[in-house]
Amino acid sequence: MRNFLIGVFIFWLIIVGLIIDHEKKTTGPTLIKGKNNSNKTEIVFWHAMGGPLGIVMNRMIDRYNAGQENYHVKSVNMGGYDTLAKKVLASLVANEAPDISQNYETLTKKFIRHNKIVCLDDLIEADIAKGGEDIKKDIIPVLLENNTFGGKLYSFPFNKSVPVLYYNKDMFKEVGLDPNAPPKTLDELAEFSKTIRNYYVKLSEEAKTEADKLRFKEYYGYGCSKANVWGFLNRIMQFGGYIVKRNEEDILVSGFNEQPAIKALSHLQEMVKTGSAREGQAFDHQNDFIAGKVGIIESSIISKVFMEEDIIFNYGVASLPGVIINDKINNGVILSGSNINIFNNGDPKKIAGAWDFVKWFTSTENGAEWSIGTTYLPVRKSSVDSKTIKDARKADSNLNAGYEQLGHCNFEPRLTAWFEIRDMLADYIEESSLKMGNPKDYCDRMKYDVDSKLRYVTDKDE
Amino acid sequence: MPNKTKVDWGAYLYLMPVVLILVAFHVLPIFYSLAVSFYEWDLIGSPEFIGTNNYKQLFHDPMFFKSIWNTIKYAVISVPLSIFLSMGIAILLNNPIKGIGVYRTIYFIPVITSINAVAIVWNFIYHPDFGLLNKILSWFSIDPVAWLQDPDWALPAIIFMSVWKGLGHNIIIFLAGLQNIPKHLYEAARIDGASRWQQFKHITWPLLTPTTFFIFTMSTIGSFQVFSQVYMMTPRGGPLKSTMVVVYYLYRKAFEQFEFGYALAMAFVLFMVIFACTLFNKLYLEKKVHYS
Repeated sequence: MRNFLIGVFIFWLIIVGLIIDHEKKTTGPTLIKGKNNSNKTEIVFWHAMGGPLGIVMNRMIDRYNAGQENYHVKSVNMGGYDTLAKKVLASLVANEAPDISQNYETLTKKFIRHNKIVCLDDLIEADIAKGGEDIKKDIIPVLLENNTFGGKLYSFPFNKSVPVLYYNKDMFKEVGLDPNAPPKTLDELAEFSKTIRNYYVKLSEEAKTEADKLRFKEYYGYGCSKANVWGFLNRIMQFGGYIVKRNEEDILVSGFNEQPAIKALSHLQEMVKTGSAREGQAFDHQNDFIAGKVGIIESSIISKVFMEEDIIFNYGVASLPGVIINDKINNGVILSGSNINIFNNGDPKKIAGAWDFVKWFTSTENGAEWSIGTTYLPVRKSSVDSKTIKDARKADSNLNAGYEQLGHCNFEPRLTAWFEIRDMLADYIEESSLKMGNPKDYCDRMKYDVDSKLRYVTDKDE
Repeated sequence: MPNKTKVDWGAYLYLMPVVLILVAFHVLPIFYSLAVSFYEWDLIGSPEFIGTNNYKQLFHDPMFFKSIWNTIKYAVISVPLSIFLSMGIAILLNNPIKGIGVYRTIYFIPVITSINAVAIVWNFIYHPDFGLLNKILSWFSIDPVAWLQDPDWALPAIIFMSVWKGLGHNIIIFLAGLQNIPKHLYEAARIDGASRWQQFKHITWPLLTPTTFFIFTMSTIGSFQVFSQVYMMTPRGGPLKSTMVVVYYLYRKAFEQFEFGYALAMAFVLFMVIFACTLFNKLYLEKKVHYS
């Protein structure tokens, strides 16, 4: 028995060893990439880019390192954004911060307040003084605004994305919808979703076998995640509303009790109520889409790179639908994703290296490569107009939706209390779809709770 | 004149490593945390003294009360359920049946498995569409239940999984307790014509009370600290915050909203609640324990 157990243990060790060896040989993203064997200044970059995104990023970092004489970027994958934020904060307390990291705007504001990051305007001005480029002129305006605090650029847009619609062209065709005409308005979205749902309900009713009855019952028109704050905020924009603004008395107020927000919540609620939409946990809607069980889903543009290998039907990617206001379709989407901060670690060489890397990574051609490889939005206007992106869009029309929506992008409030407020919104949205109460009541309560929080918000640059 | 006793400094030297570790990693952090609970601190900047404001705010925070209530529900259901199930199984496993070692191992496997791995597996078991549990229910024509998505079912689902996970640990302790009961007591009872139930009621139950008391106290403390399964299985504290327990709320305040002072105030209130429960157990329930 003892010998048998030892044998099993040794066998297990061999298997684990082989797996690790195989992992090393594959090109997948590793926790730490880029060993510095030279005297180059090391730039430590903490990020949350895993899977196919990490592969593209590490490939580009390797190229940067290969072409560099002065600097060496060490890419450290911290897992998710939450973990990254916690580790960055802990590292700041321990005075062991990385040189650069991805972060959300709310954290950037904390860093500015405590003088932990470098003001990028100072670096840009130094570049201009040396005859270099004024990079700000080439940054896409909404991204520039998103990263400007107190009139100064403190973070650099890095991996920004927008939500889009993914739709199953084969399913559209099957149910009698035009596969080349995705919904352009929220009304059409509701109508198309209902058409898909009704088609499969009918198939289920007419099915000869119990298995088919059950199978067709699981088909839906539209899928999204439960407590979907992003979707709700997008709809508020599409209905022509606002999230948070300063009133005439310079007091921060939210717009959740106004008609656009009420209509936005009603729209989400109505689609679930009529049975044409299905809300799932986390990425359930993506899995349902891949499985061909849902016709249309609303998800980030970057979901494309995660889903495309598994999708075995014809699918399309379209801009989010809008709402007809004054005979014109009003589109509106909220940006997502993070930015880069350069930490003020007191070493000018490291700051210079970090800035050099950021500029290189987001330069016209590299930014275009990053955008095509990951579907993230490019940072520079010149990248959008580059031949690389134009050719890629011609070759794959499903890339278009991200770029098309650049013109009507907004961003979520950058208040330090925003994450807490977002959680509150998620609770109300979840409650509204579970209990199906009056949307106005939820919106009034939302407004009351959010404004109560906003009363204690002292930071500017919302 | 009393005899002068010689102090053996060597003993202190032997104690020093563990005392140093305890002081550095337990005692000091406790006092440091207590101090920080009177400050507002986002970790990056300097803490700002705000007196008892964190505690005052806590008692006006409806989510804190909801989390306390959910934690109490968790404790009140999971602790007795776990005790009775594990005691019953331990009594069964105490019989000389074939392959007893295998059964004992099977029950103990969940205990040594990482809670995170277990939570992922149970996420699949509870999945509304392709979960094992709903599949089994469908054999009896029972409609699928959205176990972790339904506010009425999410907490019971977490409790059931937690009881399953901790069962093996309690079974082993109960088994040890059962094996300490002298066999001659059962022999005498049988000679006197006592039924199995009478043997349990008059011998097993009273003589197991020290073990039951120990398990009850430890499980109560553990249940007030429930976190991992909630974090892994019901992100955001479950549907309509139905699984928002104190430690998870504390974690969110500290590590997602970076309100460390507030989170620590919560930790100390939780400590007081656990301390009060343990004191109650010690002063009241221990009187009912038969130590011999």
